[in-house]
Amino acid sequence: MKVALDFRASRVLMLAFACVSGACSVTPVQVEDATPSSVEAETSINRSAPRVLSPAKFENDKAKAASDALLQQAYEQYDQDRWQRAVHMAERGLRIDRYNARWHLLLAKCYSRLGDGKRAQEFASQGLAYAPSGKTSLRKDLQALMMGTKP
Amino acid sequence: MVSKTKIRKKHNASMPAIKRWLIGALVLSIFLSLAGVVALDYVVREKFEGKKWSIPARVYARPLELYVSKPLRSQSFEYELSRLSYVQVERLTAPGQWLKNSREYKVFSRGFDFIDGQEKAKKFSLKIESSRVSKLESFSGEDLALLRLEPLEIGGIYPNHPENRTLVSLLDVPPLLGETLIAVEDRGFVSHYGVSPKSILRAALANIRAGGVVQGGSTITQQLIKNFYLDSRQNLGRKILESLMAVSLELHYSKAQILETYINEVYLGQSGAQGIHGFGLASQHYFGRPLIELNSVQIALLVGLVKGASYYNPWKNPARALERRNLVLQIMKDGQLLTAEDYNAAVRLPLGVVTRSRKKLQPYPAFLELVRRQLLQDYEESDLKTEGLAIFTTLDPQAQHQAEKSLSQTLNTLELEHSLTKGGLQSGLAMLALGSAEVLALVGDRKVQYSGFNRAIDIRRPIGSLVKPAVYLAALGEGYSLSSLISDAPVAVRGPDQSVWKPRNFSRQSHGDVPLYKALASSFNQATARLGMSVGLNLVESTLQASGLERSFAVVPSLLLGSLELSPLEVASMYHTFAADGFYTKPRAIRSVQTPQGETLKRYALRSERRFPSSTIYQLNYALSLVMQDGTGQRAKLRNEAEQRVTAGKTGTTNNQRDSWFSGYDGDQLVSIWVGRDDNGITPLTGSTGALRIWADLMSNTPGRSLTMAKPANLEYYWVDSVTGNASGENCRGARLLPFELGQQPQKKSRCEWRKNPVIHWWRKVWQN
Repeated sequence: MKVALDFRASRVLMLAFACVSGACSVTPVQVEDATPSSVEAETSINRSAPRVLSPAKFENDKAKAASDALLQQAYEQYDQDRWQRAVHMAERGLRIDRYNARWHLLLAKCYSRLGDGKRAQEFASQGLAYAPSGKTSLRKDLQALMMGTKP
Repeated sequence: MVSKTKIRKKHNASMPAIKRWLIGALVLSIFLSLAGVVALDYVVREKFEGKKWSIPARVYARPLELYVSKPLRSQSFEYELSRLSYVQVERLTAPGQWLKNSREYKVFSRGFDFIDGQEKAKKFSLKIESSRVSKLESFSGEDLALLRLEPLEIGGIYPNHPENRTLVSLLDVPPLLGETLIAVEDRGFVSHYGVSPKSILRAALANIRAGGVVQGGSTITQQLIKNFYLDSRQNLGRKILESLMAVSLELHYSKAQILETYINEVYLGQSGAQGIHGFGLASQHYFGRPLIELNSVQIALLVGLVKGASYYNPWKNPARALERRNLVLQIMKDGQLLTAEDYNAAVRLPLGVVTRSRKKLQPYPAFLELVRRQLLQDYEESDLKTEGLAIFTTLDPQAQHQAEKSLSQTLNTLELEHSLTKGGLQSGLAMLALGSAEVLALVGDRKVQYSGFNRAIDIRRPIGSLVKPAVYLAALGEGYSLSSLISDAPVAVRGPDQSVWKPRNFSRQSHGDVPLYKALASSFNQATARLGMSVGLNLVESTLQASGLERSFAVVPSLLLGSLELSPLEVASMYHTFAADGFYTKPRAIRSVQTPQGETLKRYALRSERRFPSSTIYQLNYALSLVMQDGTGQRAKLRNEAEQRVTAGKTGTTNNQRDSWFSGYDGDQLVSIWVGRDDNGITPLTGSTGALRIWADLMSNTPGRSLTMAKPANLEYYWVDSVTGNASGENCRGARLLPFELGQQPQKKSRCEWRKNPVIHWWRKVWQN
């Protein structure tokens, strides 16, 4: 039994060796592109091309410190019922960090307080598009505002 | 014979009549004079206490926000400081100064009252590395999360009468200015009652001694009356009137009020058709600085202009202006407002006024026209011109400057390269911030200062292939995927009038069956027309409207290849919806309007509305990024980039190349550009060889981030064969990675020819992961 296994293993290894050695003699194939005006053929097929939208996980790394500091100030205004001022600060925050759903949440809350339910729902909907997936309190609050209820 | 008694009686009877007449006349005169004085007094008070001037609206650019990771280049930061008239110094001593040590900037900012709170003047350090802010901290070493500079004033909306001024209160005026004015124009100002016979005599003697006009005889109050209430006619009656009114003014108002009004009223120069009134505006006009920052030499120049702003114009008559300034400096020294040492140093200094090219008060005519039009939707024109409103806009001066430069220089280059008549090409450009759709820059003419026809907002030109993303977006919403095969064979479409439309590809070649993404990237007309007819013109129409188009257009087959006519701003609005994850936001040029006292009258709030599902928009953006990678936009290699950022866009060319279009974006901004001829003549340019060149130059010189998008949860990437559209693999020849809605990915597998030995490929993947 042990001899049979050893023989099988050695055949696999030999096969693997043959494949590897065979690969050394294979040159990369030039891929033709149907578009005559395309760039160098090898890069025209998107494998890790930097110039197209990346399928990698979306990372929101924009200006986190600035955004966080401003968010704190904006919520101070909100807590003092200065909703218009909070709206202005939230728009400023979005200019810095437009994918940060916490700004959309603040805007939705402000407009809800200001009696503009439609606008509150619009911002809540947009925030949901950008909020990280999963059952987070952020998503829960945005969903509530989108339904027209208070979080 | 008449008796002596009768003669005496007759004489006595006529005497009282004359006397009565004289007394009556005297009483009447006194009464009329009193009435006149009362009337004059009323006139003086009514105007002084009412609205003194029609103040134009002041228009401001966006404030520069600073934070770590902000895209910013050193030359852009220095440009912004220069436009804000920050002075480069050896040591920071006052707001409005900066210095540079190696690659670190140290700035003493001015501070500003913003709508959401005050930004105080502060000293901070800033470092820029790899076109990003890498450090921002206070002088005490504390990290600063966020900081903004004051907004740049970029122009105004002026009254019909040609006066312009920036109102200042005495608090904003350097004390030395008031003291110098009094020393030069009216030494007895503090003590007289509006008219000063002593001043008249003193001035006369001083002028005789000096051999020229060194002192005026009129008091400051009289000068104010002349400029504010009367005109410049000189006669005795006018002088008497002026004196009476001056006394009346002094009786009712304090010296401070009179001086403040004078400081805001006096004529100090000309800028085109606009008169420069008041020291507040004159300070900006001549020195590009706020009044409070002027030094004694600059103050001396301005005070010297009171005697004759045209005669002593520092640009037209520099020698005369210098002489006058030094005379004022002499008076300051004699009045102990200046030490002898400072005087000796000051008279050696040049005039120090800004260069003539900087003194234009309306530098961005195309953008200001857009602001005016947006304001007129909410305000009467008369209010805009007279109430002194403060308009806070979205303009980015750095982006505007670069847009103007890229547009005008590239047009010059194109004309040279193609041996075209110089000046024959024209262009319009609109630049929006991604997400907020704020207008960052607008150029309406290659002569960027020209305030005529505004090609960024007023042209109507067929957009050609720029319409295609709407066709493909409609198709993606109808079950097509990026790998769906569509035929690029010749196509004929019969119109409602029975005419036959036969669109042809630009290359005059057909390409058989091609995947949808390739038809868009390569801008195949035949495939697009066939696809559009397949999904239906009505759906394409509604897609265009959902993207934000407000203009009506003919819904005919040629719409599929861009027969509809738009402006660059309208195109930008449409593409912004594509770029901003399918959310429509109306482009805006204004953030808020405030009264001169800082009260907010109106906010132009952000408003976004989802118009397209995230999955179809994501796929469209992927295809548009392929345009820049492999398609008609691939010429746009951005300079100054260590690694090319991800961008997306579309070229557009109309029949006979009359119009060259490009609309493209990265992660921060979107730019739409038209190039063509005003007479609709033929050009040798396509979208790729014309408008795209301007875009590439602008984006090369504008820092920005790669385009990124949150991948929707119902979307995944799969390898497909680029010829058949069937499922493939990473190591297969001709395979391409594309995003698909879950369930839409191809099921049928294509035959795979390995690119590399599969074992080596697998081995490399293992190590990569």
